Amino acid sequence: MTLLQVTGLTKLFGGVAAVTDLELLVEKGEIHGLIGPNGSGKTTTLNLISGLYTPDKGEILLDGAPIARRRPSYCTRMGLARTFQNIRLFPRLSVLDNVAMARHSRTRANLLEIFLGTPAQRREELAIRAAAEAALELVGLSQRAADRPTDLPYGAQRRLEIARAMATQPKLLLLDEPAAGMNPTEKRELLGLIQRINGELGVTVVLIEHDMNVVMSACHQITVLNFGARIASGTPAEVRRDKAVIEAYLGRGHLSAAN
Amino acid sequence: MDRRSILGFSGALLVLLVLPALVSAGYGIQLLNMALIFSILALGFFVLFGLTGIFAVSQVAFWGLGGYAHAILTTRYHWPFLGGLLGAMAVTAVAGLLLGLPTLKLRNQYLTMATIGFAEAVRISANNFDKLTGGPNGIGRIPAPALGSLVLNTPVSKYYLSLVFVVLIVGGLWRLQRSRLGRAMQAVRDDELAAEAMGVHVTRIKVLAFVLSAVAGGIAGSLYAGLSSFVSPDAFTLAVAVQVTAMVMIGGRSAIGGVVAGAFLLTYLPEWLRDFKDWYMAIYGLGLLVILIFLPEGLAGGARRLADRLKRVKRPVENVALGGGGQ
Repeated sequence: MTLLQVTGLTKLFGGVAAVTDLELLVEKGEIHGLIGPNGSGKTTTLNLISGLYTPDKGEILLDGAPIARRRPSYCTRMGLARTFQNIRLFPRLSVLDNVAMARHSRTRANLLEIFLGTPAQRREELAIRAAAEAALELVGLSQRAADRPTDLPYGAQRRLEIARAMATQPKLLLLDEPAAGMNPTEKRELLGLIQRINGELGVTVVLIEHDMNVVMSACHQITVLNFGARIASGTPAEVRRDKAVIEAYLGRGHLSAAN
Repeated sequence: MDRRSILGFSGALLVLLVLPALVSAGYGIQLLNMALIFSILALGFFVLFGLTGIFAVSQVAFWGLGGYAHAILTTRYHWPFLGGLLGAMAVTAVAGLLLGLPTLKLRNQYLTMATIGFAEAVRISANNFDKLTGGPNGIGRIPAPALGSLVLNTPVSKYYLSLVFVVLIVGGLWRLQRSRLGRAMQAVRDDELAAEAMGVHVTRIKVLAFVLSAVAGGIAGSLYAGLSSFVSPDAFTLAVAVQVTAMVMIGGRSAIGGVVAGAFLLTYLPEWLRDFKDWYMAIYGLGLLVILIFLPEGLAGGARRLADRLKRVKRPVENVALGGGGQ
């Protein structure tokens, strides 16, 4: 069953086409890799899907619901969550509150209930706290709940971004280069975390990543972009053999030399 | 609520309850009354700037709007005090919404400029719209606040009336800061784009903050009208907007208690510096600069840092026992 269906997606920046007529199908329950050389339009695609950019053409369906040209918070409410390549945590909120704020779209207390502290509002706050603690537990940051995110090491900040995204209760989690700047041990732990999120929690994942070890061992399906268009898609094994992919990554010369 | 907050809150409340007994009956109590009204104004600005990160200068305009709404409703239409108060709150809420919807699309300094324009427009309208506002003469003979047959016509009774509102607003904002809406506001302050991506409808949260600060301005205006029984355009100048901003910055932009402390400090500072005559403004300005440079989180932030340092000094033995290099 298809969870994310992208058709004819096009985004121009001035005269430059960052993404052209892109097709992308993500099945429910899979880890789907989105790879391609630098500047191939991966992050632009992710920004389009998550609503940060408005596409010039094309449609995006999440679980059958159109989400193109809607604001990011709407996409999040519909079940989409993301992390950022350049970490964007809230520096003046505690680690716990960074995650707790992500419960916003799943909770409902209004201003009056908050001022009065109604029993329902107090219960909801306790539930928010419990959910935030569970998300921190998932990424192994429970001990750091009271700290500021800026006090965390780089790898932990990336995991905190994942915890925050998970706290929005997504159907589809978009990870933008989560392994960037991590050492091999951290990468192995990250891989385990992504597999747990997918396997145990049943969240579909779209993964943008440059580290081919992570991509090849995590992903069930891979879509390869170059110059803003899809040049190949399939299982890791199929993509690895694809001539267009080898050419895009290594250049034409390498292909003829290999033959 | 943790123990430290309860202690701090009850201590501050106790001081505020006995203060009227310690000051002179005339000017002293008048200053205290103004300190409370400024506290409410500053608390409104705290929601906007401290929580949501929006720098608008419109607080003084909402104060004026609230004061005039109260004055007109109670003198011309003979509404009771509570009616005037609710009227002032309604007028400022609507004005906040009407000003917020278009201006919140502007970025930083443009929004500040637009709100300066709004504040000036309100003051100039009050000055010129004679039929409704009495022009430069203002509106006088505003009846003293009354709750049923209980007329609060002494400065001390008005002080306690304002104190009730300060306590209610402090309590409400304390709860807000620790709620889903408060967290959303702070997320918007720290990173608008990330907040939106995590499911916060940024425009709605900003408009909410704007309306809340406007209503606080309305309450302050209403209490001020009841306190001084007279409103005129002179009371609502941009200088007051600057003062309210300074109160929040100096008190501590992310601590509610600090905001009230900042309001009291800046109400009293001019009195303490009076002896310096011509030098007063220079010393006042220098003092503000020193605080802003050395205590970026204001007095509340400074107090917290001091407390942390004292805690560390108390148990240096542990650090030595750990045998580290003392980092």
